[in-house]
Amino acid sequence: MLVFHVDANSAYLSWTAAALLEDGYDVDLRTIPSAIAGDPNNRHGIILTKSIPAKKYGIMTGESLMEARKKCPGLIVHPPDYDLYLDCSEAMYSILYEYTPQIQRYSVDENFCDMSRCPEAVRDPVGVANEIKERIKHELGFTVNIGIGNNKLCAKMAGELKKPDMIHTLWPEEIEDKLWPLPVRELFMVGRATEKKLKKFGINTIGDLAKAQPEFLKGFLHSHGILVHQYANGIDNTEVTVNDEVMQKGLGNGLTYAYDLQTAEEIAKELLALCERVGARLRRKKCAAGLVTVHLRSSDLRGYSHQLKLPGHIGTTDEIFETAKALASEMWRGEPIRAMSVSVSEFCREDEVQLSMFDKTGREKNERLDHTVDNIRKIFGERSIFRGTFANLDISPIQGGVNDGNYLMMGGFKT
Amino acid sequence: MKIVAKPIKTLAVFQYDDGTPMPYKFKIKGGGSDPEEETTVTVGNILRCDRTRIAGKESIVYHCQSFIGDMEKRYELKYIIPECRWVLYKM
Repeated sequence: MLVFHVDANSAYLSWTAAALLEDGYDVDLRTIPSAIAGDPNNRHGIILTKSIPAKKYGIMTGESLMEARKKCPGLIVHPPDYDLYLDCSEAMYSILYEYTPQIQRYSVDENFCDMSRCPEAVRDPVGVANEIKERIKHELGFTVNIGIGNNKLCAKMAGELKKPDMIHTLWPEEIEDKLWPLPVRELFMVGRATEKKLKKFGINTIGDLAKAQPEFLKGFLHSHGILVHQYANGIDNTEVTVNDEVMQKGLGNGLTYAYDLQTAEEIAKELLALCERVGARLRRKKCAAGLVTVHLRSSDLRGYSHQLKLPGHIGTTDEIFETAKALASEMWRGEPIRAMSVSVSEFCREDEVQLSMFDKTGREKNERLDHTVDNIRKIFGERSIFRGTFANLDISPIQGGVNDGNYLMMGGFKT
Repeated sequence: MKIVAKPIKTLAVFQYDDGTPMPYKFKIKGGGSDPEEETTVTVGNILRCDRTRIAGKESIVYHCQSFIGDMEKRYELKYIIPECRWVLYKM
């Protein structure tokens, strides 16, 4: 197999920078300390991505805008523009599609391309990668890193080696020189917790991990130990799966509120607004769910969740809301709530739902109603019709979601 | 030439074969001393037009040449397809 991993460098920032330059903005955000962050007035002031000059000030992704401004007072901040990012991602995909149809869209800015059936690429992988990289730079105005390997893991690790605007290979014979000296944390699937455990046993580099006995790793990391041991040796047998073939296992919707929710009534209303979108997404996938989970986070940022396995499958907003409400009231301890999420999983196809003797009456009517409402919203906009309970309230009738949920980052893709 | 990206009011003709819009005349604000005053420019010569996709936005860039006042000048106009919008792109 020949796999390319194509990753946009500081995607959000360089996409915003490219768009601003086209609009006559006089500086390139990529060359000054700058960041993309949510609106600070709306409590979403978190650094989503930063430029390389901003990195030198110690600004990290995920920290608050206030902290970042303390480190670098002159930081230029721009809000995210998800429509633009979707366009950029699509444009990048369309260039890659000219070379191979076997593309796995791993996230909004990352793609795995199976180039095995592209004779040109097999003959000269670096040459073709270079052509793709330069085409993206000139035609789309941003830079990418391309990692080349015999499998997805090697391609991804190669892509991470040195940024930006570079091409790296990681062939089996290069693993020892290029991969093994890196700290173990750099390896795909080794997170903070795994790193801590490995370090306790003196495993500091990827090479240490590769040379460790798999049985020994299994002792304290279980099956994950075997996986990371294989990865450290550059072994990965997974195929490049085209996204249409990916089976989504669950979906959800959550929101951190700008104020604390104090009463059961308030919680129920906000929960309904979240369920509206969960229901719509579920129906768009033509699925019904067998498990509902509600997660609450109180104002002191402690979170807890409850889930319920249903005897059958549900698909209407009303049913999801009823279940979510019951779960929330069961676990809520009366403290102010800062964030909530509702998710559903254990899908089956909408047209394969087993009817039951104990179904509530009016279920079919509700299903028809939901489908009609979904269609009205699709044609006339999602605020065109909403429940009477939200009339004359400050609460938005449909909440959460980025870009109507039709966004790669959220597990969806443009259809 | 420098990117200016100033919005313009444009009159365009569409090609016979593929329907590509070609700028014919445009109006731009702030040419003289009054910032609200509009200057009209007739597009004299379109030297080349290219389709671009910078930052994922499909656009057509026209390399033009016209008499503005009594000077012949080179400039670029851009039609941003998804937004159906014309700008004086570079001057």
